[in-house]
Amino acid sequence: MKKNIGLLIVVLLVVATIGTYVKQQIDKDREIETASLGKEMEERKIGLKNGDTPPDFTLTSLDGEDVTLSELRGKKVVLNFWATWCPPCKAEMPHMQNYYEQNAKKDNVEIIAVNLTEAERDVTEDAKIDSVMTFRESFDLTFPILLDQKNSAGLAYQVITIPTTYFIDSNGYIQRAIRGPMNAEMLKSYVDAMD
Amino acid sequence: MNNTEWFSIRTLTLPATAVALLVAFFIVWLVIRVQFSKKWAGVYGDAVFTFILVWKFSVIVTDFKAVIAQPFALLYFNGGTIGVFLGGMAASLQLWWKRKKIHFDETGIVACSWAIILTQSSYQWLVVLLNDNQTNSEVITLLVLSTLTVLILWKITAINRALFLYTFGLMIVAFFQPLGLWQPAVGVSVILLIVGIGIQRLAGVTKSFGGKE
Repeated sequence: MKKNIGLLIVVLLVVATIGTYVKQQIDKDREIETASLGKEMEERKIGLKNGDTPPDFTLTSLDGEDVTLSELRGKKVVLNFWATWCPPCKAEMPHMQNYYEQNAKKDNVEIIAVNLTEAERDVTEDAKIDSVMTFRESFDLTFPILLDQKNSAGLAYQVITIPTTYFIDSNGYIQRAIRGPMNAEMLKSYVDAMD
Repeated sequence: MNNTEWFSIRTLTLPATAVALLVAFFIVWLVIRVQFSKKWAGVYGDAVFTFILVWKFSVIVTDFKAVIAQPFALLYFNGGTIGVFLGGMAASLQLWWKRKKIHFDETGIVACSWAIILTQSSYQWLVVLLNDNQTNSEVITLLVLSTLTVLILWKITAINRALFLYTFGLMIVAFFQPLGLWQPAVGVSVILLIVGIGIQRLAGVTKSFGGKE
């Protein structure tokens, strides 16, 4: 008799799995139907949720160039928020650099690392920028690093934990926000999963 | 299957495949606990624990430089695909080292084949449910593995035949999946097949030894 209990659970599992799958497929079909009804007129919604258009900003990079987020449309954008004193940011930087060197061109990706300069732990503005400069040199980073000296982007993106990374597709929609560090493998799989 | 979803708990982000594996471990542990005895659920739990530890900390091996430069990396990252293989091998070795202590009897062999087959099937089912892949590969995965699993657990008592049949079935399924035949799940399945047959041999040996005494 006992033999049947385990088998029974397995059969129930199979039934539950297939049932859930069928339901998922039906829901998906319905979603597509309703989406196709009223999508054309829809305007871009500015926000931080998946599918929203992220708040635009123009910040100056460490090399003195102005970078505007919306001008990067057409490329996939990995928008990373970080600070020099943050251990997980340090852990992920070499991975981002590796990814940038090996895959960014091929995958049509731009990495934008916004340094939360206002939150840097130096007293003067110049000292803060120096810290970021030293950090970039020590990790040999080649992707653009933007300085958010007034915490405007940090506020607009409600960055509370760092690192926080937004994945923005080539049409300029947020596909995903990741809190916590990523390695090169994760970064690649996130990028591959978006259009 | 391609991973298309991620789950976040605060700053910890896990891919759906990892979540599927963890849930599969729990389900299988529960089934073994119900179907067999506490002992075999315990053996399974130990193997799973070793697998998870080695997978997590194998980042020391796969990315030695980063861990030395940033010891924090140990906390945040895992060994990835290589880590999965290392974890699988470590769990297998542990079973081998402890073979005398565990003492695989007939129930043990059956429990072992259930664990091997069910872990893989539950994982595949959950990966299908949690991710979004091509419908045909999802349907093939669900149908073939469901039929195979129920049929094997219900009808086939010879463990080596059961495991060979299962791994063969999984390869066919993998062929229709986006990642193809050369994906970690197939490699792990082969390792588990070897483990299962090894354990059966082992039990056969202890049995005949017992007979002689």
